[in-house]
Amino acid sequence: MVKNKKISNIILLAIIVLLPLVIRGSYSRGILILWAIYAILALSLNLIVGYMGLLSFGHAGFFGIGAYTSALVCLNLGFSFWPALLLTLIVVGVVGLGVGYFSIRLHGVYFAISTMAFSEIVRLIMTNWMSVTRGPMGLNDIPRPAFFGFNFSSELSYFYLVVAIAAVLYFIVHIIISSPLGRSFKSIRENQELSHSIGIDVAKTKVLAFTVSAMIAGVAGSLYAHYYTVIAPEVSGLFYSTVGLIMVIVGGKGTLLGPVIGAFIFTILPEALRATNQLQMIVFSLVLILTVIFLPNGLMSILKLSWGKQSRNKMVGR
Amino acid sequence: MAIMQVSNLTKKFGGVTANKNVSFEVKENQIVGIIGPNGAGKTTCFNSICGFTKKTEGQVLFGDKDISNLVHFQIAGLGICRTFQHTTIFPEFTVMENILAGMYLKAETGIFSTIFKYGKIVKQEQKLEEAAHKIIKMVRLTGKENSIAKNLAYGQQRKLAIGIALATSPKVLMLDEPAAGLNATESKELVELIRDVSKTGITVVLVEHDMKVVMSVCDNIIVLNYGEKMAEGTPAEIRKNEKVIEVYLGTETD
Repeated sequence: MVKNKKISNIILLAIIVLLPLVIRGSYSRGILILWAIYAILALSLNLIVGYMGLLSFGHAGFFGIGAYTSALVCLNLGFSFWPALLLTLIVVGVVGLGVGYFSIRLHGVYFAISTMAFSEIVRLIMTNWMSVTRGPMGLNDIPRPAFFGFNFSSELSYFYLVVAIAAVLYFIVHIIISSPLGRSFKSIRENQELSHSIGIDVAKTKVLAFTVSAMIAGVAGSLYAHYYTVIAPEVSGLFYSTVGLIMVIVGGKGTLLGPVIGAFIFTILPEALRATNQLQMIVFSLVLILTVIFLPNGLMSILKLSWGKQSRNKMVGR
Repeated sequence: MAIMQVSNLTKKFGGVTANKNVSFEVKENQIVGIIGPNGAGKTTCFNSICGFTKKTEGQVLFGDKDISNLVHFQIAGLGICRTFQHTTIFPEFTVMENILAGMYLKAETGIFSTIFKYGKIVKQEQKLEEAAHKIIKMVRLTGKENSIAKNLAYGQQRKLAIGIALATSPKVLMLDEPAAGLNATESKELVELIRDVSKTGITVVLVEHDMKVVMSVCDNIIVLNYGEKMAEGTPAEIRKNEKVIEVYLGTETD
C-alpha cells in the first residue's frame, strides 16, 4: 500500500511537471503558478486545521509577513532571493512562535478570533508604517529569484521553482505527519484530555505545529511577492486566510493531497467557468456549497472510496 | 516499599470539601482499590494525584519524589498513567495507532530529528509496533489491530483505553471505574486483565463501584466517605468492618 502511494505521488508530480507543456500562454501559466502558491498556503493551514483541529483565520498574517519580509530585504538590503527566503523563514517562525504562545491557550472559536485579530494587526501595520512599507502604495519592483546566474523570469521557470519548493514542503509535511510527532498532533485533535494523560505536552506541541505551519505560509507569501513583483497590505487581508481554509476544507482536511486538490479547484475552476460569463462566480459558489454539503470530508473522500477500504484506514491515521 | 504516598490530601471546590485529609500508601506491585458511595470524592482524589486538578493542600510522593505540584503530562512522564471514567480512546485511529499513540514518550518526537533522521524514525516505528502487538495481545484485542477504534464494541473500547495507558509503560496504572458499563463476562475478563497487568510488575490503583471486581482483585482497599478516609484494609477486613457495612456495603452485599 505504501509503495502504491509512493508511485501515485510520483505520477502526480510528473503530471504537474508536464502541465505547462499543455497549458501555454503566460496568463494560463500564471494561473498554474498561483495554484502552486495557494497549494503551499493550504498545505500550511492543513497542518493545524486538518491534523491538529485548530481553526486559524490568521494565516494571511504569516503569508503577508513572508511576502513583505522577503520583498523588503531584497529591495532595501540588497539580498537576493535565497538568503531572503531563509531570513523570511526565521522572521515568520519567530512571529508564529509568539502568536502561537499567546493564543494557543484559547480554545475553538476564541483561538480563531485571536488569530484573525493578529492578521488584521499585521495588515494595519503594513498600511500605516509608511516609512518602511510605503503604506497602501505597497512595494513594487521586487526582483525575480535567480539561481547560479539563471533568472526565473519566465512563467515556465517560475512555475517549476514553485513546484519544486512545494514538493519539498509537501515531503516535509508528509514526514512530520507520518512520524510519532505527527501522531501526537492527531492525538490532540482526537482527544486532548487523553493526550495529556499519555504524557503529551499539549500546549508545547500545539505551538510547535503552529510555528511550522506559519513558516510554510511565509514561504508561500515570499513566492507570491517575487512572482507578482508588486505587493500591497491586502496580502494580509482576511481574503487569503479564508481562501486557504476553503481550499483545505473543499479538498479534504487532514489529508496530504486534499489541500493541493482544493487549491486546484479554487484557482482553475473559476477560469474554466469563464465560458458561463456572468454566471461564473455563481456556478463556482454552487460547486463549493455542494461539495461541503455532500462531501463533508472534501473531494479526497471520493478518491479514498475508489482506493478501497484498506487505504482509507491508512489515510486516516497516517 | 511504598511506591506512592498520599498525605493529608485536601481538595476544596469553593465551599465544598471534596477530599479532606486523605492519607494512604500504595505499596509496590499491589492492587489497591478506592471505594466509597457516590460523591465520596474518589475521582477527585484520583484527579488530584494525577495532576488533573490542583489540590488545595497535601502532598503526593512518588518513590521519594514530590509530585504534588506537577501537572498531568509531567506526572505521566514519571510513570503514572490513568484511564478515565468515560471511555477515552482516539476514535478515528485504528487499534494499532491508538496503542502507538500511547507510546509517545518512548518515541523520538523532536521536530529536527523527525525531518532529518527519518530513516531512524521508521526503524523505531517497527520496534514500537512489535511492542504494541504485545500490548494488544495483553488487552485481548488481537485480530483487531486495523479496526477503527470507534467501531469497536463498548467493552473492547474500554480494554483499548487500558491498552493505551499500558503503552506508556507506567509504573503505576490508575484506573477510574474500569468496570463501569461492563456485563458480567466482561467484568470477569477485566479482573483477569488487571491480574495480568499486575503480574508484569505494574502497580494498579483503581476506583470502582463493582464490588465483585474490587473484592476479587484488590490486595488493599481504601474506603472514602464524605471526602474522608473511613477505613483501609484487605478485602476480608473491609467486609467485616462494621462502619463500612453501615454506610456502604450493608445494602449491597449479602
